[in-house]
Amino acid sequence: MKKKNRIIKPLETIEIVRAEKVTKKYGIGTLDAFAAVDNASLTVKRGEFLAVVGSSGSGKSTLMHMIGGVERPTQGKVYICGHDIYSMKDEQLSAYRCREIGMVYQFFNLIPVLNVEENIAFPLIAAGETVDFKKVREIMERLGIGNKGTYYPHQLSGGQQQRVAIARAVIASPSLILADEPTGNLDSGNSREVMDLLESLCKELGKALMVITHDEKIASRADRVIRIEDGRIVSETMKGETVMM
Amino acid sequence: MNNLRNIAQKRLIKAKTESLLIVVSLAFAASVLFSSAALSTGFVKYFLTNAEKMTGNSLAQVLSNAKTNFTQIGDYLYEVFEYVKTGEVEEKDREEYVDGERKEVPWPIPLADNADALFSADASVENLPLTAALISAVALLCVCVAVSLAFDVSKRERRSFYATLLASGATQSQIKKCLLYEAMYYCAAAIPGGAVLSFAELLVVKKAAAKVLGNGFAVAGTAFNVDLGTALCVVPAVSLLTVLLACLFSLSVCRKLSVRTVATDVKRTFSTSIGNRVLTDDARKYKLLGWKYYVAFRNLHNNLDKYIRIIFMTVVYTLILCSSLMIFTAMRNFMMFEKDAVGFHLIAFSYACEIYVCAVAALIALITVISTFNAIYANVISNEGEYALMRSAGSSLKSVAGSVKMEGFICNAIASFISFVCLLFFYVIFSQAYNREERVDFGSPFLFWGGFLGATLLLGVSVIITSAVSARRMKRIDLIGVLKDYIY
Repeated sequence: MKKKNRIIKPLETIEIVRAEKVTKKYGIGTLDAFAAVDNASLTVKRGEFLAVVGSSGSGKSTLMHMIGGVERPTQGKVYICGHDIYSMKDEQLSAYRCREIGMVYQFFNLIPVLNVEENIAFPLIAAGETVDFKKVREIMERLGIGNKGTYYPHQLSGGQQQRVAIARAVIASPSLILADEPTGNLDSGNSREVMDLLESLCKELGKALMVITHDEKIASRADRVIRIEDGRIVSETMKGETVMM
Repeated sequence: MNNLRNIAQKRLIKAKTESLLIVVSLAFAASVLFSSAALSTGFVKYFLTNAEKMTGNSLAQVLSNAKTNFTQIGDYLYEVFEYVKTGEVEEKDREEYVDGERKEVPWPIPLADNADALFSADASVENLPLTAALISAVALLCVCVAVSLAFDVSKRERRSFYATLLASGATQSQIKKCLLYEAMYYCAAAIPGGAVLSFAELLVVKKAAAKVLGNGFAVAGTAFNVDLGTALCVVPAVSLLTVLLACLFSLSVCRKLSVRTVATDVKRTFSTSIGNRVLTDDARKYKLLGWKYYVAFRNLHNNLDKYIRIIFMTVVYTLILCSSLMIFTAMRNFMMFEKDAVGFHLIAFSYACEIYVCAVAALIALITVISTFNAIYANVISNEGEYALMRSAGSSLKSVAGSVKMEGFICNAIASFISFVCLLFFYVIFSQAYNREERVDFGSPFLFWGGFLGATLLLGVSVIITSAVSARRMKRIDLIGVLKDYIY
């Protein structure tokens, strides 16, 4: 008989994300051992826009992957909507991640053999849910790719591909959108447009947005900015505040 | 698009060159399995029904002798090494065999009498179940290697594809199901093709055996027949085995597959493979070696596991082919003795056994050639970015094609060298030991080394053809497109 995993429902907490003293070490037991993220704690509230800023190799992507349920921390706990995600079984975590977290990557990560509509609907298909293509088209219209439904990723420009990735991230109505350098592969015009869309869409839908970036312009748009250096959180500033180093 | 199975289907259709390579490899692997299993079954069946008639002993006695021979392998090897060391050998009991007269010898080494021929043939027949098990195991091992190589064809692309699915919300178990569906589709296309191919292979083997065995084929030729009962046993068993192997190697894509794979792979490709390599670390090396050699060595190093498998298969088929050729020649010389009916039956069947071993070696050679083609062509596909980079750095098309050829030739040279060393060891130790007291005529050493050259040339020719096909592909490279895709 097929064993079914119990579906974990999210709790109605104010904080969408709560990371408690998370540490990620690589190469444990070797001479090259190092901590990519060291004892980092942070929270993200519902509807908040948080930017994590740091130079290349500072550990910001590792932190995002740990929050996104992709990379298990060596120490510490990550709570998403009140549940410790790393105490879940792998299948439960995948299903939970699919429902509660939408991810946008720098290199888009679109499925090359699926067209735009199918790419956007993919998280629902993977979760075994019925796809409401009307909703898919609405989001596409909202993101300005309404006429690209039958196109394949290689037929789109970088900016259009990132719009598809954003639509895919929000289709399952997750509570949190994680974006790893979403404009890192785009020109300045497209970067601004993509960020405008991402921000306004999250505001409209009431989703929390966490953006990993090294671009100060993008960081300045966020409600709160966390700076990370050598795996440690070194400062936290609210919008309009000056950074005290 | 209702489920993930359709996505697997779409991917197979889109990656048509890679899919075709995998299907062709699987079809050849299945045909080798079908043919060797059918031949082994046929020979063991013939042995079980005719052992008493051939040797004069009861079947139980023959099997018991075979068991004793098997357990005495250690003693035998000790004896061989003792002989090589001291030159002294224990005399075998030969009185029970019928004497005969030798008609002609094509090689000027004085031969032993008919008793020796019968003694050797008897031992070879008694050991047939062991030989069949061994040769089937070697064929199976080579098929496993070939199937693993087939599924390596687009491993990087497949890993990236499935990691993208994972990043988009699919679970690990859904990915595994997708991979299993993929393996099933490949098998559905390959197994019927493999069965038809094996039918053709068996026909060729039978025709070759009839020609080589001459009169002996009337006696031992039945062993090459595959009846309906055998086919009904072999076909489902081999099909199931092929499916299992395909599933096993297809699932290898899942190993350490994570959502991070895509992001980190792409970033690494961009930052180190393209950026740093050209700018810093490797700049000195490629200036020293030149692009052609540098990329060839680098690709060899990056695909070392693939080339090790090809080298292994080449060594195996060269060894089996050459050693069988050597024993085969000895058996042919035995056939020149005048014998009674029992002796003739025994020697004819023993001779047929050698043809069977040669046939399996030839089949392994066939699958090795196909796998070599696959591996080199697959490398060209997956290293398009490297070659595009060579072009962008000013290399001519000839130089790019030369780099592909170089990769194949280095692999060929290593395989030939290892085969040569193994064969030299085999020739010195075993021919000396067998040929003690000049009891067995292994024929001209030129024939033996000719076999080695032939086996090496076979791989060489396959490398040349593959390189030529790959070089043609190079001409079609869209430099900007590939570099864009490579970075993306």
